[in-house]
Amino acid sequence: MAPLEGLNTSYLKDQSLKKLLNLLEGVRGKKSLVLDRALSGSVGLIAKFSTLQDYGVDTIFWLQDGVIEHTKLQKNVVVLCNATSRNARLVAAQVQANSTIPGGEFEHSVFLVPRRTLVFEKILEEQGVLGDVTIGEYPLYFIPLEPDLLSLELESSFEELYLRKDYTSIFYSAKALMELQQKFGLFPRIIGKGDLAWKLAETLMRMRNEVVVDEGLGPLDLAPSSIIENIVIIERGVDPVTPLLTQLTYEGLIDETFGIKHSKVELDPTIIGAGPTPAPNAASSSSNTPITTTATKKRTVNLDSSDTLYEELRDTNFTVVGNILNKIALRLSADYEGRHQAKTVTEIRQFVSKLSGLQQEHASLKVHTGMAEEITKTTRSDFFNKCLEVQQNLAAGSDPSSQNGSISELMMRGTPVETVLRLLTLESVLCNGLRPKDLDNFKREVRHAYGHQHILTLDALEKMGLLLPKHPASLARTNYNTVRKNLNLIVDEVNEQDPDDIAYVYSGYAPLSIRLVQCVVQKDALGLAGSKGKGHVTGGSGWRGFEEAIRGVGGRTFDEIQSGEDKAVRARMILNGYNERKLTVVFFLGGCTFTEIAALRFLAKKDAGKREILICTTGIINGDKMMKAAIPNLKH
Amino acid sequence: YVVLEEALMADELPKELDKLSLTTKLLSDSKLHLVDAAAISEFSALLTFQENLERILASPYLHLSLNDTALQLLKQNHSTQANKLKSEFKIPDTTYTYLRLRAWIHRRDWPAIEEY
Repeated sequence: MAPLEGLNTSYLKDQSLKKLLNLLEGVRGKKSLVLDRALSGSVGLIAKFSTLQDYGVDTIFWLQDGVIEHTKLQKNVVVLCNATSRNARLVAAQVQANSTIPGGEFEHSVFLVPRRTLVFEKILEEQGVLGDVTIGEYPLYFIPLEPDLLSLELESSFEELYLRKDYTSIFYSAKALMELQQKFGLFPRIIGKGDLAWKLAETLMRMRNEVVVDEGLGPLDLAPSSIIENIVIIERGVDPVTPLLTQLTYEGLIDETFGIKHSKVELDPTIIGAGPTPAPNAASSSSNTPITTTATKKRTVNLDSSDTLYEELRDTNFTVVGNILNKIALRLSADYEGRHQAKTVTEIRQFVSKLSGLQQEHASLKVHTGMAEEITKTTRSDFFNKCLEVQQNLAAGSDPSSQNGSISELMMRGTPVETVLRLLTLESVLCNGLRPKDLDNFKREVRHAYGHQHILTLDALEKMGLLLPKHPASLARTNYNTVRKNLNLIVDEVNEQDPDDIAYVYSGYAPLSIRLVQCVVQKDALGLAGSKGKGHVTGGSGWRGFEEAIRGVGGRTFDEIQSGEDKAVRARMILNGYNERKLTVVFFLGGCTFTEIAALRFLAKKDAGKREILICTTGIINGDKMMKAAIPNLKH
Repeated sequence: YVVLEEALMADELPKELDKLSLTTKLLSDSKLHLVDAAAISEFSALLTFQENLERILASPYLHLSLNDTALQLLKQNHSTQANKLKSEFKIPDTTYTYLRLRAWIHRRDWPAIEEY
């Protein structure tokens, strides 16, 4: 993926790396790095193991239950972890264990990501080790997964926001966005939907004032940006349906079937063929550690835009993937055949120079064919199609009770619990709750089919507002019946080969979240497509033209303008040159799915030359992850 | 709910049953979660049933879900026990039929399917 013209995100990576290395340099001599498992992926994206070695890191351990043997450790121990209370206890236990060893004078430094918290220090104090530890912080916020995709990689943000009502991730999001603003100028316009999204916007505006006061900045330093036109903040709670549906793009399906973590996927070697095909960069820092190599035999495959083939495939609907793969295979074999035509020495040399590129492409083709084949196995299965049918019927707004039979049948046949819960919550969200009688029935069936520990699961889902008895439509929640029509969520005729609307990502359903973004940035496309025939809605910014249509969407709607002094704005314009291309930042609070990313990229491509879209999110989620948030973690 | 969570975390069965009954009592006292209370007492009943099964049949049954318990029984051809389970916990007929089918397929008992 080509970097965005207006805004280069790779600097974020460099900055994070620099900060990390600075921290490591601060600790003298050889050191052992103890890493929080939750962070391994993020750190792996930033730094390579060899780079860390250059900075004196000898070995890497996981921070986990049980104490690491002191003989393996260097004198200097550096712990890098999230500031959770569980981690604090682990750190304390490790420090205590090390201090009992005679003659071993260990130096402990703990770096908390993304900042130190009072709770963490309190726990260390309680355990009596606070004095023995140097605490620092490592402010790691946005991690660029792709040039146009920034993620905070907060995996549990959805769970925290909606189940535990813990708003830390809002604060972190604001911090991260602030960092962007300090670099590229203020977002001239903050547009958003959802109560929590509003909270984020508020925090963001307050933080702006704080920064100005704290650092004594002049008006010039924080002026509205000339590159960024606006930011659209969408909260996951506004549109829970999109992740609940099964994603139908290639990347989405890989995520559904294998699970993508930090843009890497772990595969069984049998899937990609056991040939010696070293995937590019597969050996990143995290997979080189002594622990993982013994524990897993699975191969890690990097999924990012450095793989040109994947780049082409990732955002397409899965039905087309086979064709594309076939075409590429044919082209490759034709390229290989080219060697027979080579007669003169120069021709041969040309061919040989192309060879390594060809081989690389060949390898990645092999990987993707393997994966696609595996996915096809799932998509051809009876279960998958039944689920899909139920999902599409529900999304299209057909009578929900007609689907209940199918859901029950799936349960009796032992479908994975997440799948069934996804269907149930989907029905609940789409139809403003289930009929009380049906709900009780389903609850009983879930308990019987999957065990009684799911009493807790069901309760958690209710708390999250995902599984409710029938209730009247309220303003706080999205009413899909009205929105479906107003925003044209269901598109009957979808061209998957050559998509003309974002609905292709779900083969007929256009994600509400993306429709909302369209309301802001691409008014005419929606106006024309609108079934109500609103005609051309051009001009006007913010939500204008769509106030009526989005009324059915739950949560607070807001549109704030951040202005600076005129002089400063003009000065900045002169400095940077006026930019015709506009950049919209789309921020997903509570995570987004790969299909949404695909849809946004599709929008950006359509407006190529006029507008770019930078996607930011707290993390990547899918329906299974949402359900797992509700399922209690038990030993059985 | 905290107690329930504790109950599920408990290591030994008697302790777990104790906690469960405590939860049931608390919930039915509060009169708010009667449905859940009933579900939890059903849970303890199931656990006791499974404990019995383990003793009689000497294979692991504890902590399977209700349907899985029935399925397991059917797979190993203990139909009397399965029937008892069905009547005791009121498994609906359709569910039971599906379970029987799955068990037969597992055992490759084609004649039974034909007969059915």
